[in-house]
Amino acid sequence: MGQVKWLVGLATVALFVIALLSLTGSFADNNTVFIDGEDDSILNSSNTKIKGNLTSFSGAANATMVGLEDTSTGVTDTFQKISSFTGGAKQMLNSLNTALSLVWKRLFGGDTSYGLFLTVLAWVIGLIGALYFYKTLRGNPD
Amino acid sequence: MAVYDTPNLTGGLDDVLVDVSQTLPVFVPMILVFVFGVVFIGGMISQKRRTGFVDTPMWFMIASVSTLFITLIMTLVEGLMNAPTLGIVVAINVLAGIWLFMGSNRNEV
Repeated sequence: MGQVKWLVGLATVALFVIALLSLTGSFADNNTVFIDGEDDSILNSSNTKIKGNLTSFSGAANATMVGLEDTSTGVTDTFQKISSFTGGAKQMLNSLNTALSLVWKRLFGGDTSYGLFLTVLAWVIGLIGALYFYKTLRGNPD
Repeated sequence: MAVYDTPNLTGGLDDVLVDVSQTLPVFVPMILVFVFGVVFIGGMISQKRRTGFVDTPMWFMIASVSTLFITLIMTLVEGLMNAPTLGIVVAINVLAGIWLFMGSNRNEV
């Protein structure tokens, strides 16, 4: 449920990050700049990783679509495998992970001490989930 | 006693900015924060008046892109911009993209 929406969102994020990094690189190529985004190792490696993820996504999605077409035109005339939108989901999640990693390293410096923030966030989300669970069973937790 | 040396005002506006940024390294990041804040808060208030609701992810994205373009222009002047600042601006843009494209609220995009 919501599979297509999430995959489209993931693909859009990946394309947006590539466009963003390409913009900084192209701006540097076409103008006389003194600070080049391509000189930054983190930005460069993120760009390469996401491009690799999209290439893998393309292959996986095409392979699944071919499988769908083969099964749908078979003798039985029944869909045996409807999973065209699941093809490449792993690569899309990897691209999101790469984008988040870029944000993590650049905004927080990759310092593990900032893991406290994520721990507190996970704790709050867990508490909200527990309250909703309790509310479902017993009514309003307030 | 002056807090910092007065910049040379006869060399042009870019020289003034470079002189100030060399004396106060936080000068350029604060300009970028100012641009981001003006677009972000001003856009949200304008949309609130116009439509009655605020699309925060969209204005976060617009403010980020506006800041990125100002940053790219600043890379054309020697001594005004540095690589970590550019990287942070790009990272904020990525964060805005994730928020906008993965969000489920209604927006005008």
